[in-house]
Amino acid sequence: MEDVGGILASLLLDTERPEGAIILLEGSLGAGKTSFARGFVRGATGDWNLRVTSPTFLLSNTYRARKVDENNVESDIEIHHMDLYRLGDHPEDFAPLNLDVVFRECVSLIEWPVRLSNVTVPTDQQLNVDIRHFSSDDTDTEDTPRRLVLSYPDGSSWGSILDQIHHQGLLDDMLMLTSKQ
Amino acid sequence: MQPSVQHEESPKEKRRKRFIEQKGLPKAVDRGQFATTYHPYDGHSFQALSGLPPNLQNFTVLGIESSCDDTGAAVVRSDGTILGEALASQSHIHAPWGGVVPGLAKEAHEAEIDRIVQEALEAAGMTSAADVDAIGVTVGPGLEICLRVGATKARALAVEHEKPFVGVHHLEAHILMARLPYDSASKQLGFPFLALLVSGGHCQLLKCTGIGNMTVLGGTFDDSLGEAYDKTARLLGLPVGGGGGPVVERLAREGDPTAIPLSVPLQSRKDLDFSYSGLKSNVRRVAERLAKEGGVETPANLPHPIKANLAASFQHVAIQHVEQRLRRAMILLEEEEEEGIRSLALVGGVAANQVLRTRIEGLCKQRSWDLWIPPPRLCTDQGTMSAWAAIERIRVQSTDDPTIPDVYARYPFAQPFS
Repeated sequence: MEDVGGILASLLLDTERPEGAIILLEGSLGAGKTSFARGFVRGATGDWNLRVTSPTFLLSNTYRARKVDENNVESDIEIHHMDLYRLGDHPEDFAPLNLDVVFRECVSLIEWPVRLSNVTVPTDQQLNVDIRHFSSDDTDTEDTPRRLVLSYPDGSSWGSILDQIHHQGLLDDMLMLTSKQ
Repeated sequence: MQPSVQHEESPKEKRRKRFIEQKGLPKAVDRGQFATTYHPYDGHSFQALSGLPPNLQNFTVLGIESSCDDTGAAVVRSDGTILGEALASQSHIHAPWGGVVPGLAKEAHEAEIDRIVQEALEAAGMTSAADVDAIGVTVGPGLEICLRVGATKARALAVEHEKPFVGVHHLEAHILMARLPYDSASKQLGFPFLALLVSGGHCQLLKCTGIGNMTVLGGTFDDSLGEAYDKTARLLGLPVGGGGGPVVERLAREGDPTAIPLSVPLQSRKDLDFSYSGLKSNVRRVAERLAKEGGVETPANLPHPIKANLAASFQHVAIQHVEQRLRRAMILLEEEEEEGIRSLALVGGVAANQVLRTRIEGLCKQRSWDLWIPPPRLCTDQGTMSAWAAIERIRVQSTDDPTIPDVYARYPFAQPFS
């Protein structure tokens, strides 16, 4: 799952406006959400030794990546890797995460997005990544192959990113389904 | 990522790796992932940017801590006596189990901070911050919004009452709790020493050579030890309101630690890093298999004795992992003639776990090391941490500028100075 995250990050940072991208990571315990996030952050920062640990207790870990716009101007972009596992249903629990600002100005990677039911999440740059174990007999070890179900809104930049991925055949073995919301 | 069984890479996997190599490597810009490091010591000296208390032999500090879940304040004297403390979570009704974190909301932090500071001062027989000699507050690492609440308050007090100010490093504060003198007669842990920091959010081995001079020797790749406990608690359907760790520890007392075979993480790696995500998954798979075999819906429905065995076996292996990494660190330091480190500080929330303490006590005894552990209630986040860390900084004549409003969500230690 690390490589999948790395690929998506590389392609996202090549787009005109990576800020505002929100990746919702779903999957059971051990499916590979944090692995995906690790690959994503490493891909975005170009630092392949970077420690990317689980934000379950810290709630959010922030990283800085560099992006270059079409005029070759470099700027910083923040990636917020969040884990909502420990939060309850009260909207006030989310206040410390500063989601309004983060959703708009940073790239968000969110584990356990099911906790967001009472929070407004912009949809225009959202990508849903559902990581599933794929085995004929219901086993789910570390080595069980994974499959991805991706969905994103029609017209978002994720569309062209997924097109590039299809074109280069990078995820053919893993994609179960991609759909436009 | 924990190395699993090596398997032959498929053509697609190779293609992905190639793509990343071609696209990713050129992006590696050495701009320092971290703009700001913690470095009160610049290799030559410390600086007292906001002055020092008039009497460095006897002074009091108001410490504030609000880096994550909770808000705390304390007044501590320079000899280590805790004069007054207050903690927000104590006044909250315990959240129904299933996830609400008490005191987390920014509004809650903001509403609480004045009250908590006042409570701590009054418990110390003081009426305002004018009565203390200095003010310290955690400025990082942690959640930015939560850090700001405490830092804004502390800075305002420092400026208003013209007191020396210290911006405390949260991890250094945990580590320095092992140096808090418990009475005037007792010895104090001296530098240099090895620290094992284990909590919900952190899992690291650090070499500590002085204030502001700490090096991370190894850390977790993925989950922390405290997190592994918490997730095991939830898997078994245990109430996690008071923290998953204590409830798993209690249940484990009733179980057989060898009943369920689980692999110790990273056994073949010859380094000082940790990994708990594999163990977490392993426990889940075994629990789900047992549930299926036992004809119950989920591990939460397993009979009590089986849950107890799972808890005990999980704990046993989780601690074995710590022992293995720690033993390796101790051997490495024993072989370093120069510094001669033979002291270990065990700190962070999981240091309150009795089984961990006992096993590490045994390891230290075996190798003739000294072990220093703060009392359980001082192992979790609270104001005393910030106050004591500020005292230690002031003692080496290091204070910060309260007019700089920054807090640091990421706040790594600077490269060590020899």
